[in-house]
Amino acid sequence: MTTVEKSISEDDIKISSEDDDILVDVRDLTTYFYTEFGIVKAVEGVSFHIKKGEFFGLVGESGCGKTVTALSCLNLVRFPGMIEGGQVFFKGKDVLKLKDKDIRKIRGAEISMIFQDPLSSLNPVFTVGEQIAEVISLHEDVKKDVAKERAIKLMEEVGIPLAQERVDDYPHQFSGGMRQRVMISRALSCNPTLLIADEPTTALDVTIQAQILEIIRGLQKKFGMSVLLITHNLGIIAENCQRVGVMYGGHIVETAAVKTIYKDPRHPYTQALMAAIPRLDLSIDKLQTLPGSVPDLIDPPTGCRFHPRCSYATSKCAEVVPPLKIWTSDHEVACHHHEEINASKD
Amino acid sequence: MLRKKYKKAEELSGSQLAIAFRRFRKNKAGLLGLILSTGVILMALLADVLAPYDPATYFLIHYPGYVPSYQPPGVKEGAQLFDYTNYVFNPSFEFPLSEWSNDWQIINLNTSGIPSGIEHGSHAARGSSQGGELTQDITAYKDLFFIELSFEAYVVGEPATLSVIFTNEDGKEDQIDLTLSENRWNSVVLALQDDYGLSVRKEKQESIKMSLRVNTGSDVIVDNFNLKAGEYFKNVHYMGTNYKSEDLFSRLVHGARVSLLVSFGAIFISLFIGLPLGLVAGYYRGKVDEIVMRITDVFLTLPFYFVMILVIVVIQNTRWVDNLLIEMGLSTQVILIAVMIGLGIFGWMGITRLVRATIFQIRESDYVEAARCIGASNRRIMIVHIFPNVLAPLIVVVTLGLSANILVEAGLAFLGFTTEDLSSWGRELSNGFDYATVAWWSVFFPAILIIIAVMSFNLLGDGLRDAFDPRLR
Ligand SMILES: Nc1ncnc2c1ncn2[C@@H]1O[C@H](COP(=O)(O)OP(=O)(O)O)[C@@H](O)[C@H]1O
Ligand code: SF4
Ligand SMILES: [Mg+2]
Repeated sequence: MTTVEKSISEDDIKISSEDDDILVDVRDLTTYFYTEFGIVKAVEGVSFHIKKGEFFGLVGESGCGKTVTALSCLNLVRFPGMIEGGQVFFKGKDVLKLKDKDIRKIRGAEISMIFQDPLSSLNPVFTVGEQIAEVISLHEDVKKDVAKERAIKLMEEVGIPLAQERVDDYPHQFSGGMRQRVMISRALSCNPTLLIADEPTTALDVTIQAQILEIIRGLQKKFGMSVLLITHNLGIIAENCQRVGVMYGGHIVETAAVKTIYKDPRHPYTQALMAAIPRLDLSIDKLQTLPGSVPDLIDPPTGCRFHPRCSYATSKCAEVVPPLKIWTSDHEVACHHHEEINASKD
Repeated sequence: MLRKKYKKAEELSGSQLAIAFRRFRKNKAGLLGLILSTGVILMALLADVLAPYDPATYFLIHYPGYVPSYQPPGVKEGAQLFDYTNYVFNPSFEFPLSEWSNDWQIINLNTSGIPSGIEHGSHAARGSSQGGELTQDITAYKDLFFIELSFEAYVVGEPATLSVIFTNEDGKEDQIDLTLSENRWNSVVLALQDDYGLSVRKEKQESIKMSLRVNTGSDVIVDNFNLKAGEYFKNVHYMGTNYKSEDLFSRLVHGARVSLLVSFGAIFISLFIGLPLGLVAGYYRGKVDEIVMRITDVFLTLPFYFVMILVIVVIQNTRWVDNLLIEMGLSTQVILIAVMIGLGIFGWMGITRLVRATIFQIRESDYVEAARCIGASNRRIMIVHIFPNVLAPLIVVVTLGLSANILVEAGLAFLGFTTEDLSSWGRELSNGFDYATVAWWSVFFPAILIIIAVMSFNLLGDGLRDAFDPRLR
């Protein structure tokens, strides 16, 4: 269904993927960080797409490039980082080629993002009401009191009790879960078509995690927006997402429908993840079963970045980067040998 | 338990500023610093009201044979003699009796046929019964206490009556008639006090006119004239006087003005340089930051005192600066202004570093990332999201900078870099230094004031820092 064409002309930013269903189409995204220790090849050749109204999950160990991928989608990579190449088509336009003025109109209005730590994501010197209203007045020409009224409505929408009074409180006066609700209402204030949630529950208590995800799910149903949910928790993926991309060392190694991935993981890394997880609610970071260490992204392994830890690795694996290839419709794998490896199953 | 919860909620309500204020209120040392520094600032502002005396009044200078000297703290009461003789026989005139009255002529004693035998000066004055009066104004600044008058008079020919008349501003007179023997020198000494012959005295400032009138007989020659008036005084020197008999308290109160003016002025100059540099470095980073930081490093490695003294001397001797100051009517304050500028251009590095570091820290923070995500422009992020968060540390560093400036200003004044016509703490200290063993107060009070001022701004700065962000400690 999706054919990732790498031959698209650089200038032709209007060209989107053939499928009208697709909201975001990331192609060959590459982002490096030029640090004093060397070039961190945080994201390299990452391609995936998100359909309209889809709940897409991006999973991987911490440090594998999930956040950088998300920020790149908004062209928000900052010094010392640089987007080296690739395209991010959003509603047919390449976000990475837009002028600063134009992309600012997209940020917050059409694509919103919420972060891991809701306290530090809110400016301590402004009330939460002011910060929600800020988004509205940045993108719409409304009066201050109207913006505030809408802020209160949004706060009620995400289940903040006594929103009328709490609108004038400061972020530090809220609990962690309430802060994340504030962040969500802030992200939703202009009815975005894509919500990027970067580990929205990692900093929260387990009980509150479920509530927050429920709110996001509910809002997604209500407004029909797409969600890019970044997490390192496979349980969260299983419960919420329709499709998932697995990242390893700055590469996407496999994308598929969630059900497919659990039933038929094809990449050795995904398989290792699945095999090592007796229970789905465990986070990847707690896994100790995989031999070897997380790749150093300054000096990453050549070829397949997983090859030092892969038991099926051949000399080809160490030389040639395996491209992300369609296996079945809506199932892509980046491994030279996955057909042989999975031959017994198939 | 509930109470504790309530207290916690109370503690956390309101803006960051409100929380900081509440936290500050609990900080005893910070409060002390606030009170003391407010006191120091008020002292500078209200110097004219607070200081009992003009800082440049030399007390007791008119005592006969008086040498100005330090006086211990306390109340000084007594008669202060004011010698009008010098004013009468003004040394700048060859024989200034001529100034008194046309009717009294200046004569040369050696040629006037007066028998020698009594040594006199070469000149005297001659008056006659036909003529008017020899007069002199005695102006008392306080309570005129007594008048001492002495002269010698030679009567040529017949015996004569000479009247000494004191007239006050209301026209009231005291007249003392003197009968003088002929053809010889008569020595006259009058000591008049209150009811003893001097009824014209008043308790407020007044001018009394003294006149000599020859009533009968021949000419009278007057010589060796001495006129002294005693003023009653009661001075309170809370901190004693300095070596010039100037009231130390008044001088230190006025000195606060100088110290604070220089320190505040300098910090504004520092802010003017340091804040934009810090903002620019923090905002643009990369090359710009590199350049700004190198400049900062260079300034930090300079031997502060020596280079500053050099700068002060250069400013002091720059013609156009001089001309500018003359135009502004500040020409006498050139050293102070040079010190202020010197302090300013060597005090901005801390501000720049702090602003830059704070911006670096804040721009990496998630809420700036979040502000970018909602489509805020760089400018908006800088002004709305970053700058307010720079303010708190900025206030702290400015307060601490003030205390440093006070100290350095005092140090420079101690070294002599201060104006002559204004008192300053450092100068009083260095003046008192020479007399420390005999006049403890002349060192103690300036020193204690400098310590209090520096300490209070330090405590205030520390308190504010703890209140704004306990983590900054
Ligand atoms: N500002 C930065 N400077 C240098 N390296 C960075 C920066 N941000 C991220 N990286 C590097 O990029 C890689 C991916 O980071 P990230 O996307 O945050 O991982 P995660 O998957 O946990 O979100 C990491 O190795 C990290 O060290
Ligand atoms: S490409 Fe080679 S090294 Fe990489 S996962 Fe496949 S088999 Fe293993
Ligand atoms: Mg992350």
